[in-house]
Amino acid sequence: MVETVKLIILSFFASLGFGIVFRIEKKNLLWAALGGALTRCFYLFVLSLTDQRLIYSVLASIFAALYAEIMAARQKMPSTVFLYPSIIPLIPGDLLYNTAVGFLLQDASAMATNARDCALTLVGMSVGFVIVSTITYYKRIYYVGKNFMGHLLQPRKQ
Amino acid sequence: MNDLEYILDFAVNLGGCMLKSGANLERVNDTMNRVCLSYNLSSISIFSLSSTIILSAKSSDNISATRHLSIPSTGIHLEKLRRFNQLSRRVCSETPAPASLAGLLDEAGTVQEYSTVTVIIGYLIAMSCLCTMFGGNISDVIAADLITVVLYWTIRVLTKPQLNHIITNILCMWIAGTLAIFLVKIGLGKHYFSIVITNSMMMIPGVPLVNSVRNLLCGNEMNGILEFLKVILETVAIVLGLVISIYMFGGTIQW
Repeated sequence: MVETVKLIILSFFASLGFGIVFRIEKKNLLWAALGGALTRCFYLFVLSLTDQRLIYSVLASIFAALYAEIMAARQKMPSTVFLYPSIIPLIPGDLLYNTAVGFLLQDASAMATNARDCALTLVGMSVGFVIVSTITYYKRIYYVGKNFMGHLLQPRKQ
Repeated sequence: MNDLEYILDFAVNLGGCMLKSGANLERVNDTMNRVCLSYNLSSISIFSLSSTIILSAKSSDNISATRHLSIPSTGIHLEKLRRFNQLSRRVCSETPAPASLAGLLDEAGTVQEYSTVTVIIGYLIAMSCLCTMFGGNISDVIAADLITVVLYWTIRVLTKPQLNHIITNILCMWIAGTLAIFLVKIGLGKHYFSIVITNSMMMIPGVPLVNSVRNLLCGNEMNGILEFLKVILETVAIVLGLVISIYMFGGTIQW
């Protein structure tokens, strides 16, 4: 339990740090950091239910993308501003690094394991983002009704 | 210049600015398309990669024009992205005079930047948390933070003359790896690999990695493949720098 809370707090501050590095406006920094903490929280919850990397990556990225969309609508900003810091806990940078280490040190089994895990995580995350962006796109069209050209010409958030 | 040229210049430059600020390709294309539609242009054709944009369209009096923009490098600046997004919405709804569009774009690109100290603090917060997550103790965090400051300045110095990314990554990670070895040797830092993996996260292009796979699934296969290849090459370069430092100085510490 202590480890879980520690990981969530660390994710909050890691997202906060990257939020500054990504030059997010001061007033939105805390919301961006909260996205990282909540995503980590949800990720740990899903991880306790299944050990299938693809499934928990899809679900966690859906959560992160939904959080970004909701915050974007609330703050009237592009969802990317909240999405990038929120996915910091999910990015498999360490797996990619370990894959490259395995490749350069000619450790084929370590390379294959890390590359497989990295690929599954990336595909899972991308599928999650595509699902959410498809849902939000059709939601907009639904609200616009049949006036599709009018919808295209309407200013809307990114 | 006629109106069509002003509009195309604006749309392609806006797309370029958004790409440079970290927007994903689908959104950039969508924005350029909407800007052109709001000025009643037809036959809109967009070809874009993360390094180039080609946009052509036809005006209501049947005049066609094309614009081609090269984008040398991209980064992430979410405040600029927010302002460019706001500008695109404003232009689509108000359709200001085409001749005034360039001025609006310059205005949107002028933002108040965080000071260098603030950005370094941001890196330090992020790296300290990552180092702890990778199993580092307090002395490892201090070592990783010291290397982070050195890396920040090294990257700034090396990117100014637009040195090749691969060479920059090899050099930076060689410096980080060598410093980590010596910090562990003098007792500041215990877990060598926790320190170096933390510092490599400063350079590993995590967000472009996710975006490249997303591009592959969203129908931008060409850009996805190119970006993915770039990310892989940059990561291999990072690890290569580290391996060279271990070969040169690794014998001086006890693993």
